[in-house]
Amino acid sequence: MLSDRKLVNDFLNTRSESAFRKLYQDKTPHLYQMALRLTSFDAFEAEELVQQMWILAVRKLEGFAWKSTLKTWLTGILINLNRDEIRKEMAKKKAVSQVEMTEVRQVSPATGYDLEQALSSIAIGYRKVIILHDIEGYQHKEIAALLGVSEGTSKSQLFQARKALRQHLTSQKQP
Amino acid sequence: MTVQDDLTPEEKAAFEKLTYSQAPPTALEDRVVAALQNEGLVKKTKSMNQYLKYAVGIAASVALFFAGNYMGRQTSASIEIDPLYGYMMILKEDAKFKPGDPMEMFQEYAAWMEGLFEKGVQITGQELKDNAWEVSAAGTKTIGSEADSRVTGYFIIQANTEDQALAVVRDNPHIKYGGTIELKPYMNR
Repeated sequence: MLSDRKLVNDFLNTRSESAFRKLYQDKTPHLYQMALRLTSFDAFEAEELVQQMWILAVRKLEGFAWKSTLKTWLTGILINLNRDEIRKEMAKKKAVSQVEMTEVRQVSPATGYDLEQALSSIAIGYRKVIILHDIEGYQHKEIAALLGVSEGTSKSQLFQARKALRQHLTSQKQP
Repeated sequence: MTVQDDLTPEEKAAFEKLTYSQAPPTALEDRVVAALQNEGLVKKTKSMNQYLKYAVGIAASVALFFAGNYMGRQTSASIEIDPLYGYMMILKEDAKFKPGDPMEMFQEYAAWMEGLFEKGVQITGQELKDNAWEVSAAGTKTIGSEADSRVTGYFIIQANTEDQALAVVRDNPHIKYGGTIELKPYMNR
């Protein structure tokens, strides 16, 4: 498997289609899955998001300083684009998702599908922090940088996000 | 009941089980490439593999075109064709193969093919795909487009002598661009 640096350098040195395709094929499967989760499994939106991410990433690639991994950098672009998109939608709908502050218990989702469904149902801000922390394994420091918030905010968002997710799973289980 | 911050082991296991099974649609890759090319961020060039396929594709399509055009027509210098033997031209390409301008190549292949039909040499051919399988007692090995040397096409020619067949091969534009051609006689049974 080629290293990230080699993939990027091969592309930047040639700007060729074949070099880009190699870079794309190496990174896109993971990012596409994340895009699907961010968009509640709306395939059209997820594809749009991935396409816009690559356009922005290729524009900025020469300036990428390798202070993070390439995957983290691309994830950051994806998340920022998703946030911009949501802002536009929110401005249109003026709809705000609120999580009811009821007591919840820990639950075990019966299947991965249940968990994906529950994840899709919670507010996007909560969903992002769960995806990044609990699924992708990022630390709060990294999440803070990716989302442009403080570490404290990342922690409290995760606390609220897990509560919302458990609440959703609880309500799914109740007859 | 309390609300806990940490995930329970059961919850952790549930997250770990989430898979990345949904592959991106193949058409998305082409759309992204096209969008980048439109923005001038990726060169609008064909990859080497596409060129290689193009070269043999040209040969095959020209062959079919001329086969159609010349079918049933009398040639000015018909040759005797040995009914017992035919020849197979196996076109091979490796890193030395450097295709030229597609339009120029098309004209060269067209001229080569026209010359053959004018002489009365009968020819047909096909482009071969990149993927292949090598089957042996040890098992089945998949050979992809990244292989160092590839068989990318073939022609079947009917000629009277080995020398005639070799002359056909030497004039093929494939050689000029760095490709190699293996000529194998076979017996019509």
